[in-house]
Amino acid sequence: MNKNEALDAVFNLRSVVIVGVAPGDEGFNTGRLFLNHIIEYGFKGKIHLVNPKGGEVLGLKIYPHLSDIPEAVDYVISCIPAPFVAQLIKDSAAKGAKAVCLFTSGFAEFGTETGRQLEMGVQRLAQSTGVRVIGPNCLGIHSPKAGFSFAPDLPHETGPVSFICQSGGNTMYLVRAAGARGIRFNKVISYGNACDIDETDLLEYLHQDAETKVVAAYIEGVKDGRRFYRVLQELAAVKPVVVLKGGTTGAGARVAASHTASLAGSHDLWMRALDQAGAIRVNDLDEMADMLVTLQYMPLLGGKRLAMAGVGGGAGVLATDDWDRAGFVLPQLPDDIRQAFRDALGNDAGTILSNPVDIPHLGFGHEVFRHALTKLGQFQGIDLLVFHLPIRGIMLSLAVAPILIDRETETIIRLHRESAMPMAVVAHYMATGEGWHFAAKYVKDFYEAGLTVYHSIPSAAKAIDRFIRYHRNLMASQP
Amino acid sequence: MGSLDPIFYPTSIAIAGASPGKSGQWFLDSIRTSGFKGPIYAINSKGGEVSGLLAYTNVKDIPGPVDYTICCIPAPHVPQLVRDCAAKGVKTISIYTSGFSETGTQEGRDLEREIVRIAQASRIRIVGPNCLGVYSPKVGLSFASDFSRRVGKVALIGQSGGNTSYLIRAASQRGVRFSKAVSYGNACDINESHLLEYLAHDPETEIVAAYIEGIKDGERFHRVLSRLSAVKPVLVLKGGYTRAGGEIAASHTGSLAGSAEVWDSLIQQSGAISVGNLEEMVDLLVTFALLPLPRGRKVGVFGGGGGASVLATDELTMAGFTLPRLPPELIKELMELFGNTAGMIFKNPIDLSMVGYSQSFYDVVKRLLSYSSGDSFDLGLIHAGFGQAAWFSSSAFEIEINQFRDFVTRIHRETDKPLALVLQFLITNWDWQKALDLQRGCSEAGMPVFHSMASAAKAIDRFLRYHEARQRAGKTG
Repeated sequence: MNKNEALDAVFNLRSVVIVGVAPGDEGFNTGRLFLNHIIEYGFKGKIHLVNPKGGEVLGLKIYPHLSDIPEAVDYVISCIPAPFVAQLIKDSAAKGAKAVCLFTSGFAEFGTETGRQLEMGVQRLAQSTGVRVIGPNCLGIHSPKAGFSFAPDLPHETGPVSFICQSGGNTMYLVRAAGARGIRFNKVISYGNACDIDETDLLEYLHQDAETKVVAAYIEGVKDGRRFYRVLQELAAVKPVVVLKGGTTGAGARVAASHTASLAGSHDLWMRALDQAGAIRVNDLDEMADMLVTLQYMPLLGGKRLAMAGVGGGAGVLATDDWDRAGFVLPQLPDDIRQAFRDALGNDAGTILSNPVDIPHLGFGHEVFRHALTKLGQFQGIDLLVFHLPIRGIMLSLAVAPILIDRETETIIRLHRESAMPMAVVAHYMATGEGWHFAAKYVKDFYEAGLTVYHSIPSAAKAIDRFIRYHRNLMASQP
Repeated sequence: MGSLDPIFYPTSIAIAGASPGKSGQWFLDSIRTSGFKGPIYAINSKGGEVSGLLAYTNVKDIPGPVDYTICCIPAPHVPQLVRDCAAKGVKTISIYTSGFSETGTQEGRDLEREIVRIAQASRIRIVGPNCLGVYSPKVGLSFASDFSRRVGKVALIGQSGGNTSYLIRAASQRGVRFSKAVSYGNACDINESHLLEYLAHDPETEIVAAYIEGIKDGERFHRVLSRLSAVKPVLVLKGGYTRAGGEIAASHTGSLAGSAEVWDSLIQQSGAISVGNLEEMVDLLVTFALLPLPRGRKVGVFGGGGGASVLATDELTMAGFTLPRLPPELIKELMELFGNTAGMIFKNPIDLSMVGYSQSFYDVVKRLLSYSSGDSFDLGLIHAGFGQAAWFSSSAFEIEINQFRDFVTRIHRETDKPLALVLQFLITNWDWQKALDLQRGCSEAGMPVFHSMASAAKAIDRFLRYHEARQRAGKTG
């Protein structure tokens, strides 16, 4: 089976086999974790289990051998030791499975001759039998559309973003971090050592996948540089591709080698190649989340002029510095808008009446403020309106905070709904326990209303600046 | 000029403009819940009662002495209050009221000038206007009821009330304790130079942090900052660093911000440490207050695993740290001790996902920290990537995490190597509370906690460079 067909089949899987599940009367093992997580996530397809010892767990029968399963299987997850994997590939091929995900480690990433030999064996078998191999040393696929995941807490809704990731942990982190800010994924794959299906195959697959609108990739090393570059370039011409390269330093590359047996390549070469291919290059996973949020939620911007309304004088001063450093301009507001805010404001400490506009937490609930903010949303001299919310202002006691925050949220969401102006919210994670609690709720309300949410001004500025440059380059490169 | 001691250690306090539901009551309640031992009086021209206190109509009616007054009345009435306080023998008036020079109006500037004249003619000192005033845990004076009551060695001066509050809260959350802090607003009387001069001689302060929007007297500031930096580390964040930001600073605290170039050279010459933003300030305070000085840049990273370790290695390397390989004899010893099948875990960073947060985690980390040879670690970083953990169910996670906290704090207590925790937070309902609990446990044990490998690397690099520069200066000077 060719790789694209196999990938289509597993992202739409209807049956899975977990090989190496401990029977109920034995201890916990990784096979059991896969089982628990697949059930907890709510997979509606068939779940089959295999262990030579037989037995049962959670009321499910464990078959001694793959061939004993009476039905067809799409996707096989291997949690058995490395030396037994080659036989499993053969059995999976005989059973008609589309792909085998090797959670098993102990292959090339060990840096031993045995490990390398085992991996080469698996690779050859994949080629000769046609059953495709994901991994080894990976978590495999997360496909909300098929109701399938390796972790129970990941979002269930499907979305436009697909993510390929060479590290299982980084897959978890990004899907969670971006998920908490409203990013919904279409197809996610943790692909480990990439002995058969590699990063280039995956990018090629996502290129032709109509459901994927945005691609994100965490890559530690590539197998075939030239092919990778060509495929990336072709993909980047039609869909935004956000790439994080792990192992860019010499020491990092050494770690990458023992993590996924990757040849990392030199830092400069990578950076140049990614830029030239038209990819959006990011430096860490949080930047990747910022970029995905921007690509999914931010409308096209006319330029870099913005107005900011937010809580706190000193916060406004520092925010202005940060915007300025990233090349954004905060134009002077016209007199009628300033007057509208002046009418709304009383005698609060440090209140700033220019751009940024300093709005007390209390202000958001009042009609006079809403009126002034509506006028601000109509101002033709800006391309973007940003709300800067520090979660807990100076004098906000815990007793009133939830009420005020609800009012703020409501006001901003209403403005966003009623105005054509592009808007974003910067909601700081306040460093106290209560602050975190508020932030989680607040952020959800905003993204559900379609607002772009960031957690700091510098990170917002960086992502929005990249977003603008990306579209500018895209336009320049079009004939 | 006399000492600023009375500002930080008042024995009696009055709040002018204390009416229910207004800022005056908020100040009153904050002081009452912060453990202030002396008498607290409410003043309200209309009399009445606030938070169970009968309000005096004038400060002069108060029977006992008053050291310190917090002013929350409208700006036009402030000059008379300052006169009355001076007559009463009040030593300090902290003016929360705004509507002075920061408004940019002639009226505001005149009002500010008038109160300065009154202060100079008497012996009363003014903090502000347009500020939150003093946090002094030693005497239980505070402008927010949730601030820690514990006393520490960091002093903070901040020209913005919001930024000052943010720094106190964020740093306290991570185990930093303050000797004193002051939000000083427009700085019409007591300004940044007075405060820094005082802190240079304050025996209770070992580290100074400052958020400054504008300075009143450049030459004096330079002199004071240099003297202070010679004896204590001084971390300075400049608000209004860019021209655009400077214009906003003018309307925030009436500050003339000055150019970025002048500022950079001033900070550099004085030996202070320049800080880019509030989060960086918190990271540096955590480092300077809690981390013992590493002898060098050899780092051991414990935990994280897989892709997190790859990225952590990149971050640390880019910040100038090295991750020495583990010597073969140590690997051999560990293999024998722990009988591990997966050779990959005994590398640096050490992937401890196989052992989880168990006793073996404690044993391995302890052994690695105590190993001494030419390549032994100068610094240990325990890397807990919560968001990365795929393999815990929520209930298992809860037990594991408490165990982990106990092991981590035990290692920290027992080792003489500098050690920090890098805790990657995610705001998800699933794990933020647990991560926060872990942070609290470690911070309370006096262990530095960072929220990303990049921020840890950056802060510790600055810490090392600060000490390297001082050593060089010591040798040549």
